Amino acid sequence: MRRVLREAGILATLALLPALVSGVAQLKRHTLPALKEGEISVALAKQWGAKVLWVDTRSRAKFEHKHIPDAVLLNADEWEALVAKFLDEWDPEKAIVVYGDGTGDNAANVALRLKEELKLDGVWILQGGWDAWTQQ
Amino acid sequence: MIRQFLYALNQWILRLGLGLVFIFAGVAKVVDLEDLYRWHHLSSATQQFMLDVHHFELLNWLDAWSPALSWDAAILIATYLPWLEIFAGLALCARRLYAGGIVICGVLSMAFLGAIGSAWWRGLDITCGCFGREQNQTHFGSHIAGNVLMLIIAATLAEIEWRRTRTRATVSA
Repeated sequence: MRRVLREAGILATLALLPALVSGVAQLKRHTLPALKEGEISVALAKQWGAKVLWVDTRSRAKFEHKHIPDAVLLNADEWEALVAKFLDEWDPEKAIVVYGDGTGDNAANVALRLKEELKLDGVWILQGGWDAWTQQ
Repeated sequence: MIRQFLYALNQWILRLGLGLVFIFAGVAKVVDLEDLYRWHHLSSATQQFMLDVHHFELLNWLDAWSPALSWDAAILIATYLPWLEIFAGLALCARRLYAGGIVICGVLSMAFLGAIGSAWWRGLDITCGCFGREQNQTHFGSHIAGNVLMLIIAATLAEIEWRRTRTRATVSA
């Protein structure tokens, strides 16, 4: 009986070490500011899964280098050329989540144009943009 | 001879089976496996598991002591429990600290059984988070059956180990 308790105690202590590391990492990670109006967190957008149409508002070069899987490129510089492709992909059943670099306001600009020029509803801006996506 | 072989094989399957289930369940609570599969992204599942733990509403009584204490307890459980599962599973698979591993697996199976059973009894519409993020509500019947099975396997392994230790003690005496 004593051996069983000793071994269980050792295992419980061993588990404590990575749990502490993981706990500290969690505390560091979850220091994002509160969501602004029209913003959505990476975690929630991921939970929506296939019900999201991702719109990448960064430059073509950055998009071609790497982007969120199945994202559509639509930036202000090539708006006229890209909007048709976006409309092909658009599905009224899906939420539109727009993301930029994470620092500039290119995503906010594109989100505004989607709402005002194309009269689309359900447009969200990814909080922290591409940077937040890669860090999660 | 054949009987002995089958006995050893049976024990081997039970030990590895239970160990691997615990390792998988623990890893799925630490790493978001769906994220990894769908987005090729390594992200933490701890926050989701913390929500799942809190949804069981088993810790709400703590809030009477201090506001939001139930959330703090859920964070502690969500951070520690998966690692305990992983280490207990590893102990079973590697046959090191074996008796301790069996006891932890048994105790955890009982705890899960109690938590899931009580959620079912109270009619909660939740996801249990047993194997990480789940899209649909938990099917309580199958989860309870699974936990009962794990408990039976842990009890069987404990009985075999107890017998083995006793025989060895008798022989050496």
